[in-house]
Amino acid sequence: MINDTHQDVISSPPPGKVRSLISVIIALFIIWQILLPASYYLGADPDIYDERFSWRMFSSTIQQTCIFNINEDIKSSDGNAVTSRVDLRRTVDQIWIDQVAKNVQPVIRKLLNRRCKNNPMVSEVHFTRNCRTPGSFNPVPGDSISLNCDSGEYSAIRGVK
Amino acid sequence: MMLFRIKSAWDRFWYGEVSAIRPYLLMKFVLLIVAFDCWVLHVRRGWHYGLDGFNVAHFNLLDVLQPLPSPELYVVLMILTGILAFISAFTRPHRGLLAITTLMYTYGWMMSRIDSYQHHYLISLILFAIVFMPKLHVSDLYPPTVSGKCHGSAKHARNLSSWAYVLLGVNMAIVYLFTAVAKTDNDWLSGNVLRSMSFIQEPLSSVEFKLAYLGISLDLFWKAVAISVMTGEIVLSASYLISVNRDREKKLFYAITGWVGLLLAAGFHLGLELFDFRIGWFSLYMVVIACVYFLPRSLLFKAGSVITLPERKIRDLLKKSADKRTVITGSVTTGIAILLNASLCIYAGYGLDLPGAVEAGYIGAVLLVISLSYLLFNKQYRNALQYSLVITLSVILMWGAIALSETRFRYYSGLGVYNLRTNELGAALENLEKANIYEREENREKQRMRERLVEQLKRRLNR
Repeated sequence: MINDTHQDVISSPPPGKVRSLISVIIALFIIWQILLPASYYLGADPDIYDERFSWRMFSSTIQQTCIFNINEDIKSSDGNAVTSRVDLRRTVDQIWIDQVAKNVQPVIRKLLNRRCKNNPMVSEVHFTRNCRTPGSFNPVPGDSISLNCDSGEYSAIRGVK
Repeated sequence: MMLFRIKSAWDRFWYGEVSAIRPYLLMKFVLLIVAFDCWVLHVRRGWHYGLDGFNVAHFNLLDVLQPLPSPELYVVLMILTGILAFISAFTRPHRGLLAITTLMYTYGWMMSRIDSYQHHYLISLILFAIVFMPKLHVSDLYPPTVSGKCHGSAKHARNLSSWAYVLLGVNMAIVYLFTAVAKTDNDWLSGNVLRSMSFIQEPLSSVEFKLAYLGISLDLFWKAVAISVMTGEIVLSASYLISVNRDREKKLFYAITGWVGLLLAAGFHLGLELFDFRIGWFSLYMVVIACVYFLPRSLLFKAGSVITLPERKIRDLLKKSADKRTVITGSVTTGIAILLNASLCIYAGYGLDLPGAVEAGYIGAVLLVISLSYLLFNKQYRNALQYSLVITLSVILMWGAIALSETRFRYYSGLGVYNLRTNELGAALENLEKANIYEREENREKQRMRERLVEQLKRRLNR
């Protein structure tokens, strides 16, 4: 074996308490490394668009082609609401726009929230998205999220056609 | 009795012998690639951070705790992470320094979903394992002999126990297993996903044409390709799991598994490069790790002796001069080294012309003065000189990597285009002019377009 002066108890623990503790840490780490990616496939209502930490490379989800719209209802002086389309390209970086297209929920919600905060006349903001899977002409069920600026409540619908 | 057997098997698996060359080369190569990755590929993305005051971190808690990321913060973080990684690659690893490097790198991607590359998470896991690997130095594997020549063959192979090395191998097996699991849905197995990727489908269109001419169904072809990719990933996962134990006994089975694993890893990742599909330097990391786990140790020792030759020459030079050094000359040399290095850090920061670079230079200089002064006052002149040399080299290489690559061009051109979209014409002009200065583009047409755009902006802004 290599010169022991450069081996240490942490990297090469001899049998004893340190080794037992490290064994526990190893076991917990392995369980975490299996459960974290497995959680994508388990659970009652997993967010299939959150593929982080699940080792999903070139998945069919990420290959979907999607278009989305963000519309906001603006209160006019006569009390009616006028719906206007939001052009994100003028307000945020393309990276965030790509994330919205991929249905990254925290990004979408924060953007909707920002629309409410930036303009007090906005009463409601709506996000809708539709996608197709690769090689298919049939759309997958879309997604929709609305934010009521007055109450601050989100309502999300999956499977919007 | 059963429990004893399980414990023995556990101990044999995790704490059994590993050839020292494997964790040594793994640490060296990964840290070196991380250093250049941070400088060349990460820094150029710094302009994205904090634009319009908008950011979403990877975790809600970070959004609550951290300030809004800025280009300056990101550039400082990436420059210093790269320098720390480089220092760790060429000195006897210090666990604290490795832990700080890992934390800084990990925070670099965690701070914002701007960075959603899965392989950055994988690199964090690799760095985490490296923190706990044996603190090996080149002298441990290639000690100088009396004649000055070193032995670099398997005869002098040194084995040690490294649970972190085994853990990383198991982690790689888990990664490849789940990449295979992700391909068990109908969309993948039918071949539609592969077919929809133009970077794969277009180069194979000639193959499709030939198959169609021979009357072979294209659906069958794409299904076969899809299933073989998935199968390959499962076999690669198994190869990693088996190969972590390969140094304990010489068996043909291990050798075959190793070559199969290496061929698959090289095939997958170099294949992506051949198809012109690049995800940063992900392929490089994967192939290097595969080489460490799958190549025979004798080959790794030979490769290591070549790769470490410059380092060993410098080591021998330092040793000779240290033997002749007195306390006075040692402290004078160290003092001069501290001053020169601190000046170099600051000079390099100003010379880079990037937000955050000057700050990185000053922070680096302060940390350097503190750490080398500590060695000076403890009369560790040889260590101080060694660190000083490595720091000098890292700063020079960092400056070279950024200055000679597309980093600054990409930074300013990306920001300039964003400014145009958001109608910030003054800022667009400033950034596009800088992009033109740092142009590395060989496409003359694109160059001319940018120059025309700058002229139009100048006219519009009456400059």
